[in-house]
Amino acid sequence: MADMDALAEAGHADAAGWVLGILDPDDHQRFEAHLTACQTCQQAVAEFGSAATMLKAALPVMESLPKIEPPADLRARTVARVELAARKASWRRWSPRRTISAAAVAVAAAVAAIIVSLAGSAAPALAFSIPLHATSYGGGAAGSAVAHHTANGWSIQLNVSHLKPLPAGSFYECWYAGSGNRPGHHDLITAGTFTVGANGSATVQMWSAADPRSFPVMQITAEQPGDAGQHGQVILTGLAQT
Amino acid sequence: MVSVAGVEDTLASEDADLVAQIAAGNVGQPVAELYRRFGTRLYRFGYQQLGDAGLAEEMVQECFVRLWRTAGRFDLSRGSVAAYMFVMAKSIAADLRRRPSSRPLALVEEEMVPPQPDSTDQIADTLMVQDALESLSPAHREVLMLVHAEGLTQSQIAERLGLPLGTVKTRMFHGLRALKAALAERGYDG
Repeated sequence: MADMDALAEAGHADAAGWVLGILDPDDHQRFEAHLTACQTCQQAVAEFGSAATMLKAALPVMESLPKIEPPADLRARTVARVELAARKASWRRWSPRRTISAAAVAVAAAVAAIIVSLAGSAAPALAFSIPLHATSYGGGAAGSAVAHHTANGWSIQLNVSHLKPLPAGSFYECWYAGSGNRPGHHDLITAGTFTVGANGSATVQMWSAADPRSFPVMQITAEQPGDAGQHGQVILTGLAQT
Repeated sequence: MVSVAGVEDTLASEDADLVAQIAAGNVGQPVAELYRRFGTRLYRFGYQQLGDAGLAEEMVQECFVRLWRTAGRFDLSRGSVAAYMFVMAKSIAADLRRRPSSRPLALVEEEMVPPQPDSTDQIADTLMVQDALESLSPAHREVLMLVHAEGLTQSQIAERLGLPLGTVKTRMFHGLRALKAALAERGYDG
């Protein structure tokens, strides 16, 4: 296309107003007469046409759309989730047993821990750190956890801060989530429950037989008494890292 | 000067290269870059469709997981990466809407649900234009945003903004050119 800057300054700028349908009547008549003889403006009109159509269709709808920005950490969480799915797929390809339910994994890990314990063997020195970050429901909450493999399962040390104090009887619950976990299809194992002090902080020691390699996402939710399963919104979440 | 068509080809090709990298097993950086390009639009689309921030987040994440799963089958000759992602987003949003268990625990108040334009394609296109407009300079964005307001002509826009008519014409010209390039950057192949 010819140099647009020169075009605009040479008085052909009405090409934009013409495709947008906003020229004043005199300018409109003048430009249409000019357009029939000006190949450069014909080219400009053709070039601008689709953008002008998109703009004119979008502006009335735009006014009705919510003005909302995604949470700042959604990018990192999205990347982590895709990486987790890729890692899980890689493990499945490596393992001959492809379909292992959450319960089976937990049982297998528990049995393995007991066998190792009975045999008196030293457990492999395996540990994961789990930096936790707040979701859009988490306000200023923060936390981190460390999971150590021991002969008796996984020792989890959890530190949280800036969690809101809950009504009497309610509690926070820590979960391990597998990569298949999603709304309506839970792939979760509870790691324990806890409460926080008036300052919103807690340091908690928990035990679990669930292996972070199979359930690499940690979630913290607020739960009501008497409801088994995860019902609260996820407040803190993080990915197990070696 | 690089033509708009040239920019469009380059960016569409860059998007496709990122998908090819994902298909080859390099997940982190390409997903982060594609999120930078499409994440905000997908999130706004999800929020508009589902009326809940948590479900919108779920839709965005699932969209990128599906992109990773299907990256090897992506074919640029059949459409842009942007079009591919919005087709997936529409499908995921429909799935999430159908699942009673995925409804937010706190019911969305009726007045909080945004108005529903006629079609998801229209919403996706509108979000692309909105995103493109936000990338323009304030001077260009200002004149283009007034194009449809109350059927104003250029001289009325000039009057409203307190600018000479010639300035409005020039800004309209350069603004529309910038919008065309910004739309191309976002995968619009029109």
